[in-house]
Amino acid sequence: MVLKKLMRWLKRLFSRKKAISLGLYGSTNVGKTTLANRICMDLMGEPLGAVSKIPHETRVVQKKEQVVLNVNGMNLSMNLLDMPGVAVKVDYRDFMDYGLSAEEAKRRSREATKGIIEAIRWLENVDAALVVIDACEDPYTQVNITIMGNLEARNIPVILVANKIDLTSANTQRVRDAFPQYPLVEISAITGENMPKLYEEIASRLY
Amino acid sequence: MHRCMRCGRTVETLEEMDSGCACGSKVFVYTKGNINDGETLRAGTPKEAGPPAARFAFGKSAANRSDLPEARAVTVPAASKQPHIVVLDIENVRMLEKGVFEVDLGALLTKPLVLKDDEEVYHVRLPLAKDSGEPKKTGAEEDEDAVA
Repeated sequence: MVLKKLMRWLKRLFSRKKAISLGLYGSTNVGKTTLANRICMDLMGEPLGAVSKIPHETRVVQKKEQVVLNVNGMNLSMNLLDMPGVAVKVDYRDFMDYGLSAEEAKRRSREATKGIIEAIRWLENVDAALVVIDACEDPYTQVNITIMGNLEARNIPVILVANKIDLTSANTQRVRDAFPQYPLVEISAITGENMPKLYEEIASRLY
Repeated sequence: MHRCMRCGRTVETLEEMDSGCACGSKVFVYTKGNINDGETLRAGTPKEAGPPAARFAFGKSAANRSDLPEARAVTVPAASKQPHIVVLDIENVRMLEKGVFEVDLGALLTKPLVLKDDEEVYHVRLPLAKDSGEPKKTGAEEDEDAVA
């Protein structure tokens, strides 16, 4: 019995990849970078990227390597990939509502579209994904359904993250009902509520 | 074309269907081609649009209209907060004008990048054998060139 356990432990030890690429996917302004920053601050003591109320603030894939998660004595090494927000339409006029000039807005629009393409290309290279959904918004969107469907088609493990539960309009049951077949963790990335639960879920699913 | 079930007004755009008819109805009937009267009704008040659903020359009562093969009722939810669904033709990214892009996510996930610009010119990014690994910076730069 002990020998079996030892053999299994050794097998897992030597067959394990050095680090798991964990991608954060989702629509714009759902809190992906806030969550990435929270994870990096909790596990490494330093943030990952800038956060803004203007959509498409993250327009290139932000990467933090060797983020080590230790849960119940298990160490899980991850490369955290904060993806640009995925959208089906990018319109520079939306950015002008936030005070950007037409020229700046058009540049941002072009970079945002490039970011979407980059995020989609990275789907082939992630080992697991956290799909972040704004719990205050309707989860039945083309973006969420397409991302979830493609992750599943590629056999990539998915953990759904219903974010912004600190807001009164949050409705996590709606998210749960939309994607009942996936593990879901309800969190607030901004306040850190339920983050230990998310870490436990990541460790249990990906270790 | 779609016509309002209640007043018979012709609806020409999806936006009009989303917001509902001027008469307050949100139920529209799809008809192939022109209705027998040959008249195309324009947007306006229900009064201007003419008589109510009796204008449809289907020869059946309104209650049975949805059973007709050439008629299909479309109900628009009151909230009209439907997701913006984008399904493009052979391209997967379309530049409608400078700074306005539409992305067909499904096609982008399965096909090489094909961009259609605002002058109807197609740009195709051919996948190379060296692209099989992790996305390289050169690949991203090529994407940027295509989007630019």
